[in-house]
Amino acid sequence: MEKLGVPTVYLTTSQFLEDARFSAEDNGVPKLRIIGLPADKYYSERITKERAKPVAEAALDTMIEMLTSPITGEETKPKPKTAHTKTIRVTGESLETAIESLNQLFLEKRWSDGLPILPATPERVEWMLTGTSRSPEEEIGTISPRNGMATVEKIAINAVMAGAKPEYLPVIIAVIEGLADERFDELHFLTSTGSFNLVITMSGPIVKEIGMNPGLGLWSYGNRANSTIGRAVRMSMINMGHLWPGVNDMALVGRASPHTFLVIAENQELRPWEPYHVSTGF
Amino acid sequence: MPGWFSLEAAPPDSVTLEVMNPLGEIPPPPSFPPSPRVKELSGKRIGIYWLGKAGGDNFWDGVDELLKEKFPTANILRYQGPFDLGDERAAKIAKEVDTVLYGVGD
Repeated sequence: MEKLGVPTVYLTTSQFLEDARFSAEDNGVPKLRIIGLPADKYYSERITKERAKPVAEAALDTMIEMLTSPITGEETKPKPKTAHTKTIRVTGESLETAIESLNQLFLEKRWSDGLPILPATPERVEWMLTGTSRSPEEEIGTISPRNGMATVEKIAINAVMAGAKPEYLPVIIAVIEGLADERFDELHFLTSTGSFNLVITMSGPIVKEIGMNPGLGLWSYGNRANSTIGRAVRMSMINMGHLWPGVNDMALVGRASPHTFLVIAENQELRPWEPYHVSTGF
Repeated sequence: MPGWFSLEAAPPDSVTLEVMNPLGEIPPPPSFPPSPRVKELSGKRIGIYWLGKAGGDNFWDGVDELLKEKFPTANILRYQGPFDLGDERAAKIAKEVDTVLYGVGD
């Protein structure tokens, strides 16, 4: 509405305030006027009109003020773009304490998923990139909700952090290519208050080539490919989408298998039907 | 194993890890300032857009009543639709209102 010239005030609850500010920024109106209604009052009182009215009354003056007070000079200034540093350094008394510091730093910056990560040194990223012939600079696409660009190199960095191996990288890139496709609505499952989640399915000779478990316990622990392909995708969603629980991933109780997604590998030997990738024309 | 860590010119008996930044750069979208405000609400067409989440109607009914009490000559226009307005719906509403309150219901 703002882009169409209509003066607008956006109302949400205090729980969604940071999400709303990011969203306004990413959609080109960084200084959108936003009101955060107190979540504790709004949610409990919205149950009836009589109980909701005092909540409306408490916010009314702010609504009127935001609808009518002139736009200030500060509100017309675009936010300067901040470039990311290419590398980050951490120091410790030993390798173990440096790795601990790295994990702590990345979690504080919301660059990790809460489980231990491996250090994505330039050498390890180069090693990861041996798994693909694609250029590290190739842009695969942007990821919701904040539309960070997923390049092959950025995916490789996240794959190292997640503990993946180079031979898994083509699969990880393929998944992210699918998520970044404009015909796929990744925004919904990444951010909705509903706690549903992504399921990744794989079919084809690569399942066997990279040693996935397509049989008993395929959703269980104990297989590196099954575990880290999904984790590398999750890590990429966090860092390309600039995603964080309670900030812009608003799943009320979180999401099933949040660190690794559910990854299904088709069992090539026991399947009674033609392979899924053949059915779909690959 | 090569590449796990690199030793830097740091204090003796310390280890420095240099790791690559995992964040995807956000291509900056075209930036718009907020639109000029209306000077007052009397006599204006005030839109209220709500996406239909439970209980939000109770809150917006309250806002509707309070605005009518305070600005009897204002015309309050109520809309309901999805979170993403879409170009067509947005253009229609933009023609019908002077200013708008947009509330998602969360």
